Amino acid sequence: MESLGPLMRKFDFPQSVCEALKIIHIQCEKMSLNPSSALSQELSQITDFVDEFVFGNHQSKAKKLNYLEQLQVIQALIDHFDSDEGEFSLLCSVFMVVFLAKGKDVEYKMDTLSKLISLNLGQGHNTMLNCVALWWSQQPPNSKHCNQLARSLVHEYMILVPDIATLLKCTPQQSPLLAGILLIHFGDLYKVSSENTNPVFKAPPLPLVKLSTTWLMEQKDLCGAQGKSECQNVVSMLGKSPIPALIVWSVLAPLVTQEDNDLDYSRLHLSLLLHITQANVDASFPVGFL
Amino acid sequence: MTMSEGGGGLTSGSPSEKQDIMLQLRLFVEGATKDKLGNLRVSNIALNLLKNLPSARDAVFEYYAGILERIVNNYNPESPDSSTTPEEEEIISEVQETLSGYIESNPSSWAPMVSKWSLDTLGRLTQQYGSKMMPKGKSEKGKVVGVAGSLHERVSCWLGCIASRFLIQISAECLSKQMDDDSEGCISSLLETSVTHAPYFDWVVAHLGSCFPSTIINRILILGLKEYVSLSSGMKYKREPDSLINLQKVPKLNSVVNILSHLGRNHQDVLQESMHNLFLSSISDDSNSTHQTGTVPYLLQLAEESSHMARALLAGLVDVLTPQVLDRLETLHGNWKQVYFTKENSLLETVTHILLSTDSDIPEILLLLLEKGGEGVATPRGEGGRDSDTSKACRMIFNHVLATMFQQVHGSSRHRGEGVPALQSIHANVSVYLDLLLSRNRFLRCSSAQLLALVALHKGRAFSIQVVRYLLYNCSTDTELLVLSDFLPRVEIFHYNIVPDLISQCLRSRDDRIKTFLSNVLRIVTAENSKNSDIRSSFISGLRSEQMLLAERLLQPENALNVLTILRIVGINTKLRISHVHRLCHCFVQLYFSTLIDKEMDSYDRDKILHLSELLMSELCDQRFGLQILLRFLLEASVNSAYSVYLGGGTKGDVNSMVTGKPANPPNPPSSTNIKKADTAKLFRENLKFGSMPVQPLGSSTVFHAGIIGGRGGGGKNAVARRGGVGTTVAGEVETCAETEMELREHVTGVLLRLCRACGDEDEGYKKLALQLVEMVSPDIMYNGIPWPEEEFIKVTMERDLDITRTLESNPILWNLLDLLARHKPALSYCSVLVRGVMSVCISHWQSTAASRLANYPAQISLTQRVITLMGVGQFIPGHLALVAQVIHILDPAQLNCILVDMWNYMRSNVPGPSSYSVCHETGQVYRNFGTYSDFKPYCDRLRMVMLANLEKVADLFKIYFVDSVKKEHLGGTIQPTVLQNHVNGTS
Repeated sequence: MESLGPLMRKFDFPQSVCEALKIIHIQCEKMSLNPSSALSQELSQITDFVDEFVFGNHQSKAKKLNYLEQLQVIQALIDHFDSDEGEFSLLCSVFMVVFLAKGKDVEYKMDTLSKLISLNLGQGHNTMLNCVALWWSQQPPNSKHCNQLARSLVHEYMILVPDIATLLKCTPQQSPLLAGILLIHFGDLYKVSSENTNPVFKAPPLPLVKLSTTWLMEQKDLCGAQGKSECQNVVSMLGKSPIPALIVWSVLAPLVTQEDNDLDYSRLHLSLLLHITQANVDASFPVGFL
Repeated sequence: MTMSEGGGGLTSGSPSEKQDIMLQLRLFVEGATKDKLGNLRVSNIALNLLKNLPSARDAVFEYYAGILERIVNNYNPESPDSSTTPEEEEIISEVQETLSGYIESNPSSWAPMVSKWSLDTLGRLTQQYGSKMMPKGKSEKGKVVGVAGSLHERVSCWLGCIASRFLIQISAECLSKQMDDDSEGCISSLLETSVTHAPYFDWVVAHLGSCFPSTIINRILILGLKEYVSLSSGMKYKREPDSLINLQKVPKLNSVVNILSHLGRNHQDVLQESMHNLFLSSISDDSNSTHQTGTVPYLLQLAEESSHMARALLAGLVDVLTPQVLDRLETLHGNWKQVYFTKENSLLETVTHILLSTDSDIPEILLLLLEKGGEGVATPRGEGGRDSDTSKACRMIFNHVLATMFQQVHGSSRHRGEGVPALQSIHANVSVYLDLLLSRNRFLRCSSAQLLALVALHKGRAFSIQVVRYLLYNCSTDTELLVLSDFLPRVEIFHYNIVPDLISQCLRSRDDRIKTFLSNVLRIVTAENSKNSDIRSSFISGLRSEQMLLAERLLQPENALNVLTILRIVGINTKLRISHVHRLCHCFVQLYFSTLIDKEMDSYDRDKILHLSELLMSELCDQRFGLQILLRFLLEASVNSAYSVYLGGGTKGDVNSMVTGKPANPPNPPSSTNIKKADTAKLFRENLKFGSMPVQPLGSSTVFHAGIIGGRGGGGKNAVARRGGVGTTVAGEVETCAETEMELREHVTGVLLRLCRACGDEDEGYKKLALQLVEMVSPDIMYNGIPWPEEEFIKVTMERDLDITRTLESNPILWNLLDLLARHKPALSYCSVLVRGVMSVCISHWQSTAASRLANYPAQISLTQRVITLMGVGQFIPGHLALVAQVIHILDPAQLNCILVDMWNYMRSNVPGPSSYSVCHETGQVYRNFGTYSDFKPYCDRLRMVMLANLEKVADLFKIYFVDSVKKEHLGGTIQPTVLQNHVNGTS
């Protein structure tokens, strides 16, 4: 891939990003066709390539891309994933490679990913959302980057501009896995803190409560509320259920908030009860959880 | 483009809307990257994205930052109106409206974000364009702009630009929303930005701080405290061992100092309240230990860095430092030294530096230090004495402040006006320190004296004089006066001649404490004169130079004794101008007489005043014309003033003329005029009694011969009383007895006698007295000589002779004086005219009453006896003729007239000139040799015949004078003048 450098430098930004993604795509395709090759070495080369030509300023390496250019990178990524070129698994590979939590400036990469997810959650690009769900499922438990992503989404959609939270209503239909993952991480964001001797609980923003209720009520398969489902849900994928954390919300949040939101928490409570009946308990919790 | 143009939100999430937002995103990216100038359409899209596409927020903010940067770039501070386009203005207006809406609706989320963006953008712009934003005419090439020009001017320049104005407004809006929730976070970010872009960012902090002074100052103080406390552990900041935390080397604390210092200029009250609150909360019991330990050192170091903060800290601090607070500080003090002020004396130096760097409340604080420090020092009466650590610390601080002030005052030469602020403020509140000078507590006395000495050196001689004047006006004990001996040497070497100036000021002033002043001055000069005192100043020389002012105080009875004593110690100047001698004489004589007649005065004081005045008058006799002036004043006072009443005289003057103290008062108009008028009136009444009303006005001579002489037998004070004499103007109804009058006359005469002696040449003194007497009693220049004219000439001088006689009769003291002169021959010679005048009147009288009986005229007999005796004592006539005074009762008026004519004739033939007297070589006495009896026998025959006719009555006298003496003469020798003279005097 080092030989592609001079060629790539002939392209102007953001054309260079589009071309780089195509090259990455081809490389991933090659890697899938030749599983015996030295994966780690190739992955390292691709990561360097990504750092230089996707997230880096190849005209001036010392200079970071500004926010407008970052937006252009995101546009290029969306365009590439919307182009219907290749199958989903290959696109997933491309996504994994591009957002691999390694390389020069991982934070910038994660910031771009955060904006990409935010944009796609609102716009509903199924392919991209599923890629995100798979990327997320590959991250280690309690990953710092995943928490940051979840926090960023809550901040932007639930806190900063709560009016547009409704844009996320369809996420479970578009990517139930991502919705389940997000519910788990949302639950982790607002849990009883055990750092101090006195446990502290901070109530989640109400739009998030409402969104969670909507997701759980409208998508019963999300945590197996309708018994065993053929749908691949988050419990079976990650071995973790969002239910326990959300139950804490429904119990503690009305106690710590001053606003009268009892109805919203009652609805959440009901949705959770539906997920933990004897019939669907196996689907709602990992095996042996209870 | 429905969404973008309308600015509606994406809430339904329909596919078309989702496509629309993506389209807008593309348009925005395209527009923002290609169109570098502000574009209203792109801006609208950007605002819509800001609302509906959270992931585009950073890019949108970046886009607007670019627009703002271009506006600032195009901005010209010298013509602010022409630099922005209407489109740019509209864009900014819309952005502001939108962001304000977000901040208003959801402050907790949007305010921090927008605040961060606006502050970052401002920081970048201020750093990038700081050099451009200079007031007109102040831009200097190559100069660091952040420092040049006042902050206020820079704020004006920046606010002139619409872009920076928008940013600062939106920042302020964010801060106002954040203050309630996350004030610490927003202030922290403000400080961090300030640190990053210092000093260009100062104006931003200044402007924002001014919008919320209370909150900003409080938060910044607390933030700084946290940083300061964290530094004390030494983890974040490495400091030299035994050194203070250098605030300037810690960016955050340096920023805290700069911002608070700036805010302190316009919001000192807020800063003061915040600092005091922080201080008080730190010493409360529920404060955590770290803050307890760190707050006071933190505040002290802040105050040390900036005079504005020092001013805020010290203002009103005295009210805060209650005894409980001081006790608490005492317990915390050890911790400060252990953690923050590890270097020896560093705490002391810091406190001193703060106290001297500002003028705010310094007098009150130093006073507190003095009072608390003084509590540990026992007074002579054993009060106080609880020497706590607080007392010791207060004394230590005060002494260190004094030492530093001393260095500042005596150090580098200062221009006038450039001063130590603390000293300036003490000068403005000096009264309380002046009071401390008189404290019973030695520490308070000495410390305030030292402090005031420094203020005096700093402010100049007027202040030195003020302090010394205060002491002299208020000291009542020797201990208090010792403060003067502490203070004066400190200032006197720098302020030359302050003592004379001070004395001059005090003596000229109308302060009613002049008595205390004089009393203190007396004590000082007494000590100075004793050469045994700590006071080595120039009071004696100063008083000598202001002698005339001092003398004026003689006329105030309550001050007289002190002034006299002072003058006695100081001494009269040797070379005085005539006018000064005149005034001094006047004052002394006035004092002398007013004291002499004052029977209510304490006898000791009275005697002392009389004694001292006489001594000082004696000193004045050494001056040129001194004796003459003194004699004149004494005589005038004795004869022509109201004082004459007390001497048995009939006053003809006004005592007020002496009381008013006006120098060189001319003698009152000839007294004879007044008396004549009164006598004429009386005579008019007498004539009415006999029914002989004159048909036409009679001449004065007619009146005289109608028996006026002797009609004033009562004379003297009775006459004054009848006439409503002026004597009453002095002491109300004058009541004196003959003995007292005689005693006073003797006193005055004694003084005159001693003054005549004091001038060195005794004879000359008497001569001057005699001449003054003549001049006063008979001011005519005609016929005033020593020789006696023909008897017939009496008619010519009759009126004047009557006047002389009347004056002598009215003022018995004149007789005393004539007696005095008669005893000190030949002084009476110069008064020949007076004797002649009386003799003339006697001759005229007895001539006109030749047919009457002698006993009818006792007053005239007395007068005749008196003048003859005087002539005998003064050796105008031989003893034989002087015998008439003793044998007058055997004579009838005609005989007496004849004998008096004989005497007159003798005097005419034997002029009583000074040259007719000679000095006895054996005894040194002056005497007149009358020759043998035969030489003057013709003048004695008629007397001898009359005595012979009445030999049974005057045998012994006849034997002595006309038998024994003649016998002795025949036996060989002249009559021993002294024998006869003594007999005549009644001393034999």
